[in-house]
Amino acid sequence: MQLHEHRKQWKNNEKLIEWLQENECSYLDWLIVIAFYTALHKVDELIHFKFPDYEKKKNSLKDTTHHAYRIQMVIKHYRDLHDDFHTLYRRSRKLRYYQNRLNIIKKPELTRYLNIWYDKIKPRKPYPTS
Amino acid sequence: MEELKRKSYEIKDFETIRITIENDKDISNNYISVFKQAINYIQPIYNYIRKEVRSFEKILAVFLHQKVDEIYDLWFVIDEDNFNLEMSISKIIGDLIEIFDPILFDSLSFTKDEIDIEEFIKDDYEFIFLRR
Repeated sequence: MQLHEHRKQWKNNEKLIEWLQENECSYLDWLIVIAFYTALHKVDELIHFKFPDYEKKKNSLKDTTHHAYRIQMVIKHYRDLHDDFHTLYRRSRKLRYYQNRLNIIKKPELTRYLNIWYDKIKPRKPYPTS
Repeated sequence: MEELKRKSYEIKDFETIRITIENDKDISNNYISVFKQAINYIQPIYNYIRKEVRSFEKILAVFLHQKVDEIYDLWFVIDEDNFNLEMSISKIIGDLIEIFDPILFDSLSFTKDEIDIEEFIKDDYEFIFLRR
């Protein structure tokens, strides 16, 4: 994906989060999954800014390594985002792969995960903090 | 004891060692496991994880769930769902990735009510840390 495509994608995903919340979606776990994929596209956009060969390198790797590679790149280029992004990733991964445990998320917990997107990842500008 | 004695008499030279290892599944499995750890340079990684998680009382266990495509998939077992603890685990893994670059890691965490640690022990998963 190109830089502008990532931007378009996270904006679309964010609209979906807002729409689901406005319509009182009761599947709160899926909101966390969408929040993660929203963050993923924003993070891909950020990495792309600092490392233009990122997509090329990522696509040369096996699909199964993409998440781990992305996290490694977050560490290298946006260390301040890592702990939040990884926490959102782990929650989303658990929800996706262990669906027999779906619908266990309560509203306060959802808010904490959505705040990772709204307060930490979304506002991050594509330049180092230092 | 008699069995041990018998084995020690049998092992006289390298050839008998080779044959003994080849014929004894437990010995060969242990030998392969130790050898694998040595050649993968995994011990410093495991030691680092042990050192870091020890002070978090609510982290009950850490084990290697699988290693696929050179990614170490680490599973954490925690006492209960806790957002701040999840953030601490992310920090531990972040530091791990930074220190042991370019090794790739993945992770998941479960509460003790979601998975049964004993089952994973029984199934011979590689436990890095286990709080007893």
